[in-house]
Amino acid sequence: MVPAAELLPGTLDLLILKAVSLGAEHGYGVLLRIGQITGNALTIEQGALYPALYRLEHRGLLDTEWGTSDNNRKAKFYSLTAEGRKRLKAETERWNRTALAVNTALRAQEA
Amino acid sequence: MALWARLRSFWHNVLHRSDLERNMSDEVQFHLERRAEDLIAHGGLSREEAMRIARLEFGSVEKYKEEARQSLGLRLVDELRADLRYAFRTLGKSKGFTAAAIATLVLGIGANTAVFSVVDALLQRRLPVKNPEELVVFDWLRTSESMVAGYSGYGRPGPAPGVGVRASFSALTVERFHEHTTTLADVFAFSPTGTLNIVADRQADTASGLFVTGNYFTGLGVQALVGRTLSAPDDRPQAEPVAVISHRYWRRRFASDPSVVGKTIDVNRSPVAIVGVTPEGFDGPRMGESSDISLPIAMAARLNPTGRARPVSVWWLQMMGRLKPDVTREQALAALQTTFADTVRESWAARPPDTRNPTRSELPQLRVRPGAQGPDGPRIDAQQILSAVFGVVAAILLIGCANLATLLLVRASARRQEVAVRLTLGASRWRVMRQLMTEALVLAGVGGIGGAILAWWGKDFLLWLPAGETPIVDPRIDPRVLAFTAALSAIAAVLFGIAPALRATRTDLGPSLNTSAQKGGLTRGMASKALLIAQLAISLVLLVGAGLLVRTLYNFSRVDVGFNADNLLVFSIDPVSESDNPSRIFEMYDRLVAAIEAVPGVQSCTMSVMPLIARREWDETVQPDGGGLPKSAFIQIARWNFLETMGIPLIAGRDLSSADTLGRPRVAIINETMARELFGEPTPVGRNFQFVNGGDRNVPIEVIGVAGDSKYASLAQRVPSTLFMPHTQASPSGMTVAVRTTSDPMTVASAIRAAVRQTDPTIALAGMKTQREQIAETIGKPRAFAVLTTVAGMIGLLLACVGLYGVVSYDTIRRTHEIGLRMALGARRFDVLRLVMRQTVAVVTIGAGIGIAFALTGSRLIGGLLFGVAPSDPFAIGSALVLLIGAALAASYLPARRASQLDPTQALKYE
Repeated sequence: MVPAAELLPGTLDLLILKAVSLGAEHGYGVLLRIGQITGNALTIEQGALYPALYRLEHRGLLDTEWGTSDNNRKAKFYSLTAEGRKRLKAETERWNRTALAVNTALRAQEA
Repeated sequence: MALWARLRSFWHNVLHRSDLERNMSDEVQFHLERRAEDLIAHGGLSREEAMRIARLEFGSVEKYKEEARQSLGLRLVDELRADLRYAFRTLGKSKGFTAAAIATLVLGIGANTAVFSVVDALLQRRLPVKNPEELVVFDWLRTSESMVAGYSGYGRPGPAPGVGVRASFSALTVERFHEHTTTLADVFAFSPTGTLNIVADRQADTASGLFVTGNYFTGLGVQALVGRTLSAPDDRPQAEPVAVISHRYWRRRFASDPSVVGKTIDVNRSPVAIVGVTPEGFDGPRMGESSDISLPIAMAARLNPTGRARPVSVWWLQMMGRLKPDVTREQALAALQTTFADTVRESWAARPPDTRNPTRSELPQLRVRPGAQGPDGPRIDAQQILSAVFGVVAAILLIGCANLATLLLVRASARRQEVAVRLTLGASRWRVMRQLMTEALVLAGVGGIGGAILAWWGKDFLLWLPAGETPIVDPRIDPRVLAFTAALSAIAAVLFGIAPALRATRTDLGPSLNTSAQKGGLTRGMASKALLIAQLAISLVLLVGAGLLVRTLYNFSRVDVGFNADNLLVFSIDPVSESDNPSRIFEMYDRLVAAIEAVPGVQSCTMSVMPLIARREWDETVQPDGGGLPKSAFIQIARWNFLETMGIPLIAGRDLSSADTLGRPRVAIINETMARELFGEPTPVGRNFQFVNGGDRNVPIEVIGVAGDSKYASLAQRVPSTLFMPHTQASPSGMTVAVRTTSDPMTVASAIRAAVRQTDPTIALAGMKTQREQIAETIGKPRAFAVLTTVAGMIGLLLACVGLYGVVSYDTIRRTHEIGLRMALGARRFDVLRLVMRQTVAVVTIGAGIGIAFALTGSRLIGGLLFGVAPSDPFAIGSALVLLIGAALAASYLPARRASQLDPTQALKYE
């Protein structure tokens, strides 16, 4: 098993937005989904998820609603607001540009 | 908006804090349980083991919760809440200090708020009419060369000496301005009627009134609440007489009865129909005054005793206008100047040729002034009083803040150890200061709330204070006033809180932590000493003012008025109208006097045109026979028994008699001053004089007697040349009735009212009071200021003494060790006493010195209120000084004596 990579600073918010964009989820569900879509390649300290969720909610990027989970328990579900969707798009583009630039730079050969 | 979302989420979380905390716990709990379930499903762990691992994976729950709170922006709130809780706890511990602090602030902030509410109502509020900012007021500048003579209206001192501001215009000017429509949307005019006699529902009373042009209400944009307002057709000479009444009068006189519309009332004996009521809050354009009844100007002629309209040469109408949109006052002035000049010349030409003084050749200068607050007038007069009152209450608040700062400084020094511990444990200085400022804000907040409550019921009391010239205003505690209170509280908190907070957190941690033993010395506590000096100085200024005013009142009380003012009831009546012939009036006056004299307890009854000592003056120029120089003399027209009833002695000649009537030779009694000044002899009985102006000029009037000197218009005025003439030889007019009683005059007041009603139910009695009350009204201002400065000075002194006591007490406690040491080394009690008192003496001396310097300049400002005492009166200054020094020494003697009675062995062990 390849050791999981450290999370780059600032990427947690992006991953949360992406995970929630696939459908409303509760906190634990968001964590599982991030694991699923990243192929468990990144470690996230589980507790650290929550300050990030609250921050995104506070900024109006996430909406919350108390609902019932699959095993019939009360849970807080997060969904993306219109503002959040816009932000996800912008952040994704920014990430792709950065990633492309960094990849290009790293692929450069000695002339 | 992202910001909006954040604010909303912030407020939601602050307001629903307990929900938030519970939800946060629930969410974490749910996470842990789901994780544990997954762990059980995948790894077959026991439930306890699974939960343990889930918790480990999660990390520190509390840390993440705190991070979550922080990301919601709640940390500041949490700290504030902790500060508040801490502040309440510390303040609760020292109840005495807290009570004193809050009482000081409630008093100071309350007094300031109350005064502000009156100032706001009088000086800031606009007329409650449509678009008041479009309104303009016209006035003009008068010099002694101005081509205007028949002036009857309001005047004020102008911008330069010799120049007066005049507010009234000729009807001609009003008419021409109204025709001029290029810059003005409307022009309207009005003039006070004087006191009106109203008979409605067979009840007589008096009311204030305003003559207005037909377009007055439409020009102002005031709609009727009930019925209608006036319109142009009402202001034609032949129109049916109608009136509009104010809401205030409607409530007072007609109990807000809507059927008042259509009711016919008698105004000065002429029937007038009420057609409408104006809305509440609108009391006419002259703010500070209230007009009960508005009548068309066309009615002025009918209500005038002569029955004639005023000629255009008489300038008696105040004029306002409404600017057209986008027209400035300057443009309006430029457009109106020629019209104004034309009307000045025309109204001058309308005067009889022999009254046109050729030296009056200058055209007066027209001004167009902002009219949103109506004409200057009672507003401006009250402004002068109010600004002085504001000064005094501001001084109280300043003393209060200085005092609190002193006490807090003492506490700050006492708390240095606590603060030092907190700073050492890692609290930032800013954080500790914020905590200390929270305490100050809590005090100021409670003081502000208390002050607002105090002001709410104190505002009407305040209006009563400057008695005699009370303007009519409705001070309201509205959001503006509350904003002022809040700002004042915050400023107060900063004033008294910042220095102690800075002092307490000064970062020389070492000595405070290591040792609490302090050394004494003059440089220590400079801030608290400076504050004490300021308090003492302000108190002294107030006390000197109080001393001067109290002496003034004492001097007033010793003035010999020249007549017997005790057991004398006065009131005024004005039953005269133009249709009456004089003999009917005189006959009715005789019946009235007879009816009053028949009341048990009444000794005699008389009447005069001018009330005595009521700040009213009537003087004419008279010329003695034998070609002496003409001089001015004050006129009193009275019933023949006036001198006898008032108790003015007759020194020579005969008294007036009931036989001195129209058709008989004109006679007069003159006072001693007039005998001396006009005739140059003590008893010029049998000589003649005549009036220089007026309808009866050149008619010789014989001096039949000389009366003793008596005061005329006010206590302060020296006795003027005065002449008494029988009212039966003058044209009839309203009268002030004076009733001499055998005991307290107020006990027969209702019997007298009944007697008047029986004689003629349409006679309205106005302003019934005792002569003593009448005199007291004329000195209402110095009396009010005497009360104000005395109370303020005493409060200030009391606060200063509390501050002094606090500082000296603290000082001696801090120096217990040193004092013990000195005593052990042989210092006697007296030496200790002197040691402690030395500082007080220094503080008091400097404070008194500064105070005297300010008092000497400040007392000149109230020079106009003083009587018989110089602003630099050594007695007033001396007694204020004695009071101040005595109180200050007493306040510091108590702790000093305690220090001197210390047991040296105990004191040395003290720590």
